[in-house]
Amino acid sequence: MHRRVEPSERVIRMVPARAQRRKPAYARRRRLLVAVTAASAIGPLACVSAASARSDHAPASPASGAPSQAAAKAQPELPGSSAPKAAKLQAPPAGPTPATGGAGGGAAQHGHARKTLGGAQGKQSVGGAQGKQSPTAGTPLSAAKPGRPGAAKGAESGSASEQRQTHKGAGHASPPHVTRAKANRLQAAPASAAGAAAASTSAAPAGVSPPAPAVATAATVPVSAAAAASAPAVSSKPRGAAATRSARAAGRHRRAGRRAAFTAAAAQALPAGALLASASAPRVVSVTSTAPRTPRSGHSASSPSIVAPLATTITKIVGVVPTPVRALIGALLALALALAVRSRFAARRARRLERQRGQLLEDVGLLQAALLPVPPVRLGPVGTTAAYRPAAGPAAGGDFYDVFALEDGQLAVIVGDVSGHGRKALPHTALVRFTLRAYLEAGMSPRGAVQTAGAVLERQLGGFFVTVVAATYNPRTRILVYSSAGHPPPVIIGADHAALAPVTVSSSPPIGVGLPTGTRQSVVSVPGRAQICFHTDGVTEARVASELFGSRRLTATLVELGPKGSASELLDRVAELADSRPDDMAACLLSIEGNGQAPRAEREELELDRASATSERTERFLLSCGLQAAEVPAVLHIAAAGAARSGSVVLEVHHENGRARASLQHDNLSYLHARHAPHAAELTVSR
Amino acid sequence: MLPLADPNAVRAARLQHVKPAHASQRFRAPSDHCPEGKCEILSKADISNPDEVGSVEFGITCRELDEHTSVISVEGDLDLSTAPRLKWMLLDSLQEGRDKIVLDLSLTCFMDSTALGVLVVVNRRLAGDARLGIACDRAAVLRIFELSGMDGAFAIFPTPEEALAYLHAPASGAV
Repeated sequence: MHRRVEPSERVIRMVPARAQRRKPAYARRRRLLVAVTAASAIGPLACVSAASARSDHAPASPASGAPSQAAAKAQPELPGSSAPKAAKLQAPPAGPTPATGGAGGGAAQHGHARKTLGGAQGKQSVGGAQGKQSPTAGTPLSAAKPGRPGAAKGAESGSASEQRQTHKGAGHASPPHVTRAKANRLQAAPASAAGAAAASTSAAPAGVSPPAPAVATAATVPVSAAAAASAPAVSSKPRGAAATRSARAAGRHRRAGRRAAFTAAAAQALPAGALLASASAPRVVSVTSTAPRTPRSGHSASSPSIVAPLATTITKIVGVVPTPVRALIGALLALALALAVRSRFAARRARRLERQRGQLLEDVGLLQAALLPVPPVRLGPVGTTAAYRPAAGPAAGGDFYDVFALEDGQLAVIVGDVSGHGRKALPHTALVRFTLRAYLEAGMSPRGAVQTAGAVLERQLGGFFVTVVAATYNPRTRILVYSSAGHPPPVIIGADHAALAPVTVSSSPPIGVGLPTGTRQSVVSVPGRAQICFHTDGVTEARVASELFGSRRLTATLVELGPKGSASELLDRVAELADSRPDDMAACLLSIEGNGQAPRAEREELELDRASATSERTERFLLSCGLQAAEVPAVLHIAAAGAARSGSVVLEVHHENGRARASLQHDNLSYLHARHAPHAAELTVSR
Repeated sequence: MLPLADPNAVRAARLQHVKPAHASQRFRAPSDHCPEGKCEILSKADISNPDEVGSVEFGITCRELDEHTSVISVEGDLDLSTAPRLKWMLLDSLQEGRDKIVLDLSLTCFMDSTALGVLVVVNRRLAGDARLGIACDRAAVLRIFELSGMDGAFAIFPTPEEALAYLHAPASGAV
């Protein structure tokens, strides 16, 4: 016996723990109440609907294993049952499964149903169907045997008397779990297993059985079906569990779909009351799934009178709740509602704002692209990259760069920084960048471009000042020319990883401070491999542990990155190393291929006017360019003479064969001349 | 040698942006340039690492030598956050009629483009006989002036005395 019982037990155990956990006693009671009311008030129709509902669920659970097997076994014996017609009718939808079996199950259930009030029958019917479906489930039908008689009888009778019979059957064969309660009542403990069978005969299998048959029964034999349906609600708890479980499993088996559809159709045809009942029924199943409670529920199910006390109890409880508490509950409900509405609106607004933000970001991206162009990856033989990182603080905005090809095959670079920060600086950023670009494109030398821009923009900057470096690189001659206005000079690193030391004495002041600018220009020969890094002061002024990042760290970082390194990698590295970045960072990297020859300063140029020609600054400039101290006075003298004569002169210091040689050009209007037609030196001083 | 002010009083005044009562008497001659051993911090920062910043807490003091002259000393870094304080102190001084100003940057470790902008603005406001002399002997700061090309635009002296002498000298060209 015990062994027989096993499968059904397993079924119970397999009921999802969640279902057991979730349903508290009050819920169970409520379901019960609903089911019973439905059953009693609405009558057979409701039962039918319940059955159909079950069936709806059932289809999902095609191969529920043991239970189904029981059903399957029952089927063969059932053929003779009174429900064959129904079975036949149903058969088509049910498909391959022997409809008869299902019908038989259904009939048997009817009997049960009445007695038990239970949805068991509904389930049974289902079970029968399933049994057909999944006869292959292949597990031993220990429970099935006992069930068979019951089922058969049920099928035959379909009346009250039949019910009794079924009970008996159940008593004999009852699969342990389900009908234990009944069994206990009707018969002795031993029977419990058998008893289960009866009610459950149908029950166990029911869980498994497909919906279609149940529906069919309902349609064809309304009364009996109804009875069956009513039963499930109350008594068939164990089965319910099985059913639920099987239903879960069903998800995997699509085959049941067709049947489900059929059932659904049937359900639709049912009256509203039926629907109500059906709606409640499936829940009952899950609620009552716990085995230990089965007996009780069985009791209550069998006697509808129990329901009344329950209802009254609930009513009493509600009645006892003091008015203030009710008011509180009402207030809380209202609050919850209000909050829900509010959160809904908030969510909607958030979505809208998010959308707008996306659009704005796109726009900003476009605008930024206008200010910070994406440089071509390569310009001729030179790899070019540029990057910009706004400051972490309020200084964001103000840096700019541009890299572009000139008509004559040269490459031009502009990197600058507007003194103001934030949005107010942006218009000036664009103004300076495009002005300089225009001059460079027009063929001016970097110095000429900066000088002209300085003269032109002075009035337009309105108090802002701009530091900038403009450069051109000629890939054919491998000559880099750059001119800075208050801006850090580029870092030029050769194959030997050494940075070329720039001459910073007598640098030009920034554009916009009211001083003539664009007076200095450096010419560097880059015969071999080199990295040229133009940057803004935000890079060198980043803080690393209370120190400035500095040009030494910048050089080291560039060496570390190697010739393949990009500007964005450089800035990322700087940001990584720095503790704080008070200013924007912009960098533009030129990667020049070649041999191991180191870059060297070819020429330094300084434009002098009458005042500056004799200044101490100019003297220092000459010295720092490598001119011998002895020859400086002579050079200064000649320069002063030249400046006095023509307003201004350009002092050049050439580096040839390791020697510095100064020369003078009357190039005071340099920006009016293209860089391709430099003036010939009028006066040359060499030692 | 002028009597030194009580360091605590000076510090408190500095924090509150109030000029100490004895400010006018307190002018640091080169010899007592660094009271309370600040010289050590300064020299350490100066010699060992020109890139060092933030080693000295920022402070700014204004000493009024007479109704036309004031000496403004800055200690610590001049950057985006501190430059505005220098700006207002300089502009206040100009507004009060003290148009001969010595800006003592001897204890300044670092100066960024924002501070440079402040100096440019103040330099533009100088009208008539007004003059701004900058006293600075720190290589790091001098290099910033040089790199920015502004060393030609300001009168920069190694010591406050020389700057003072420049302020009171008969009209002559810049450095």
